[in-house]
Amino acid sequence: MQPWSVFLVSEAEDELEEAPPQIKRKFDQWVVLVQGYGPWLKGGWRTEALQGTLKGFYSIRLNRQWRVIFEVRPVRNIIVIRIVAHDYKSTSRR
Amino acid sequence: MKSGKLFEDALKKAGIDLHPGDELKVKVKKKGKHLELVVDNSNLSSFEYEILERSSRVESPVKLYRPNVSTGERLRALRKAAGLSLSALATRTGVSKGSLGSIENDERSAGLTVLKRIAEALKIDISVLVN
Repeated sequence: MQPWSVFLVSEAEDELEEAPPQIKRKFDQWVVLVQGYGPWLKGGWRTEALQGTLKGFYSIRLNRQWRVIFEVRPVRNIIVIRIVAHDYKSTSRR
Repeated sequence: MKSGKLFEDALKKAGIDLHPGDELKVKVKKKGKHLELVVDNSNLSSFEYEILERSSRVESPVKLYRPNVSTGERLRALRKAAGLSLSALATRTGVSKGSLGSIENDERSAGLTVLKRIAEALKIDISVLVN
């Protein structure tokens, strides 16, 4: 079976470089699983399809704070667009 | 060719790059007899804008990512994702449980034949198992 390929945009590369080591490890683990089984993983990996203006993009949670935003392109290609830590302090509570 | 496609091509020629969520305003100036197109993306948050902007220029600087993960770690992660225990994988591959455990702990390297059997049992390409 043909493996999936994971590509990073240059900004995402920089974001990964600056991320904490445990996040890099978790990201590497996710990439290995995606190469084997594709982006829709079972188990603890939550792949969420984004809504609204970001429809067509997907998000995966590396931990409670960090997430990866990616896009699925034809012929088993995944483009990682952002690796971002959510700033909970800046979000107001309802 | 559909009119939507023609309009899209005309916008591209004019150097206007539209993203989902953008609003296109058309102003008609009667005297000069020309149209003025204004793209309004103020309704996007900076988070959304950044993602759409990066995605729009994906063609050029994308790099294939190769994770720095050993064969043992790869095997463990893929086996767990497949929902298999070490014994179940041992039964499917014909490789002993102890050998598989040693490979997972990076105490011994696996030969091509063993890797091929593991890849077949996990229903993945063999290249995923090696760094």
